[in-house]
Amino acid sequence: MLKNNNGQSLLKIEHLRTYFPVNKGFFGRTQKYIKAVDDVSLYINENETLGVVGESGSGKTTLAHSIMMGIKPCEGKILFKQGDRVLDLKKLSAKELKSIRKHIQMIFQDPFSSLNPRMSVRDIIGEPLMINNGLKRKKLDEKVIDLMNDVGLDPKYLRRYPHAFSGGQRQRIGIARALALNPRLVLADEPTSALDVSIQSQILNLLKRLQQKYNLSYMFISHDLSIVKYISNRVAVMYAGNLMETGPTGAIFPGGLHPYSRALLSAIPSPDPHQRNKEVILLDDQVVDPADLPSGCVFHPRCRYAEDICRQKKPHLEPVNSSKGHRVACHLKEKVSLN
Amino acid sequence: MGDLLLQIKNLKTYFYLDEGTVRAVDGIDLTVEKGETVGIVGESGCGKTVAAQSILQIMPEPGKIVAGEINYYPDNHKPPVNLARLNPKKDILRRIRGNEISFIFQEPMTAFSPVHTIGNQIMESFLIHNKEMGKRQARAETITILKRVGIPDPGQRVDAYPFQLSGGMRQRAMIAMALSCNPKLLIADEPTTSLDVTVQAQILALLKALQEKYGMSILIITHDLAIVAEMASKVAVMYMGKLVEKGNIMEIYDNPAHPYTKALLDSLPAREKDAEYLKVIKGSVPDPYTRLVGCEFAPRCEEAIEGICDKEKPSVTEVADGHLVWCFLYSDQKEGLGNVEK
Ligand SMILES: Nc1ncnc2c1ncn2[C@@H]1O[C@H](COP(=O)(O)OP(=O)(O)OP(=O)(O)O)[C@@H](O)[C@H]1O
Ligand SMILES: Nc1ncnc2c1ncn2[C@@H]1O[C@H](COP(=O)(O)OP(=O)(O)OP(=O)(O)O)[C@@H](O)[C@H]1O
Ligand code: SF4
Ligand SMILES: [Mg+2]
Ligand SMILES: [Mg+2]
Repeated sequence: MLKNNNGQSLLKIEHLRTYFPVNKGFFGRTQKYIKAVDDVSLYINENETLGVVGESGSGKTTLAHSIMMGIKPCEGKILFKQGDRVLDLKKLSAKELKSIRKHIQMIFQDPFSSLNPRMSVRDIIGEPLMINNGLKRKKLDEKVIDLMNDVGLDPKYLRRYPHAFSGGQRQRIGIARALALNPRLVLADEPTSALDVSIQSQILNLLKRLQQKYNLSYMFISHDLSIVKYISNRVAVMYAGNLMETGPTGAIFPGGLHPYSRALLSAIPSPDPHQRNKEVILLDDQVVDPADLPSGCVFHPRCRYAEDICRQKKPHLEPVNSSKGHRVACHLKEKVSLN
Repeated sequence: MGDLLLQIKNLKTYFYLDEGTVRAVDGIDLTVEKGETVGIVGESGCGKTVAAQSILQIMPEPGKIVAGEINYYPDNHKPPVNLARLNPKKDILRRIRGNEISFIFQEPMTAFSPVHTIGNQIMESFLIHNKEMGKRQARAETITILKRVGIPDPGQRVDAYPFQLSGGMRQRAMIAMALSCNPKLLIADEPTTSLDVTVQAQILALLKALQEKYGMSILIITHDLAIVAEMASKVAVMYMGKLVEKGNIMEIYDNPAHPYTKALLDSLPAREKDAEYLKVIKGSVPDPYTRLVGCEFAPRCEEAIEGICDKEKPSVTEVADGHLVWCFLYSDQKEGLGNVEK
């Protein structure tokens, strides 16, 4: 089912950089940058889910907003497949961008604050249809009811307001709105983090079902690694704005190759108490200053393998010989893999 | 069985509001032995935090303990103190609060004042609890305890303000403050929920190491089944203010009995290795004013017995040694109720 990355990917980003300027020093004279996304290249194939993991502040949300062009990246390419053309979103005019952007939608973490409390469900889900397709009245109602059925909301709630819904239902409203314009790619930023355990599985199943029905591609951002493992075909591990490792889910879980991935994955507690006290690779509790990243490999101050080269030279993502589609940014990957 | 430290009996904590009564904690029973870790798990709003706060009577207004006992056994040779009966404003509960039972919260910023250094705040706690201790010694003790909870450069960090520390480091500082009185019981309410998994792993390891060293008991509260699996020897599962099941953690994981516990475990992605879809629990938790005559879980339960589960409250059944379940499927109570043949 998965296609090769032979230029046919739905989305391909190349050397993407998104920096935020910060003023440091007296009178803001020295201009510094928070390198929220720093030279990230990745792709998402059709009908595929790419999971994105990494600690808080590693740049996951900024990456998603950059792909949407909500935050303008300062460098790199965002290549989106449209029929048999490939467009660079960064080069499009505002008008062209608007027509492409409906193919890329976002689902947010917090279903409570992402919905306008003064709009009814019909207006929330229907708004993109009104604006983009000029649907009105009965036609609009019909389409909204279809979408509500799709996401498992009872259409009798058409005229209700968000406050009358539970967290899980609100997330369904957000999903229905995202689907309204038949997107190709959905960027889901922690879509289940605010939900209860018992509701989480309902939403994950829904996302899977919709993916099959509409041939969707997902970028799925989550700090819950067991969910990412379950839902993703491939995984990307970020650290301080950099992509450290990417590859098929089976290659990244259960261990990964990059020293950071290994520490991250070893830290996931298991719900099985018989597995307790398994070996965890503990990392130093250091804060990376995003405006002043370490030289060389950004992970080197916390890395147990680090050598001189790690402090001096930035490693690039390179293929791992033994496993297809698996790439790692680590100078010492051969040595680490023997451990 | 070890020595008893805390025994909660039929505890009820209610909020009487204009909109109705919230039965946040509605008759729970729980024991904590010396040196052990007990976990309370359940979904948002089920009453975990209020249950823990009730132990020290620090629940928010207008929460009130309306029934039950919280027997605290600081000393094996003396009769217990019923904490539920103490006046929250009187010295005796205050003394227990800071000295013997301490609390760590999900958000460490709530425990610290932003305008004082963490060192001064921890020193304060030392000074309050030890009348003989001088300032200089309190500072030295503070540095020692910061070091013990794994804060690097404690001699410097002692003078840091809370906002100058990372989330993980603030959590460590709060644990240091909670430990400054050498408590018999540490209540940890979602101690790692706002942290990254790598930091969470450090904090959990730290709590285990400190428990080994000091022998205190821990009551850990979380919505994450994996955290109780990692930490606790016993677990209690709550739903809408009530316990539905409790027992030894291995027993509950291997042989969950209550349909809610079973469904929760089954819905975890970590357990579904290859299945196309996850198992789900239908519906969602009703709003907190809801009063049901039957079992609280009946409307969402796949195994509910019509005419019984929706008509009566299940009483408790011991399905295995120390493994208690509140469910009609295991109870003799259903005979004589309704007219179901089974
Ligand atoms: N608008 C902004 N202005 C300045 N800095 C920003 C802005 N948005 C994000 N950042 C910074 O960029 C970095 C990446 O942030 P981002 O929100 O993308 O991380 P994240 O991986 O999504 O984290 P989390 O898991 O906490 O959501 C952080 O250091 C953050 O402080
Ligand atoms: N100050 C308050 N006033 C009114 N009701 C309250 C108050 N505090 C808590 N409650 C109610 O008590 C019930 C239990 O709340 P509690 O905070 O104990 O839940 P919890 O299990 O800790 O949930 P969470 O996982 O979200 O922290 C909820 O229905 C809540 O709405
Ligand atoms: S490049 Fe060096 S510092 Fe970075 S992860 Fe690999 S071994 Fe560690
Ligand atoms: Mg984010
Ligand atoms: Mg709580």
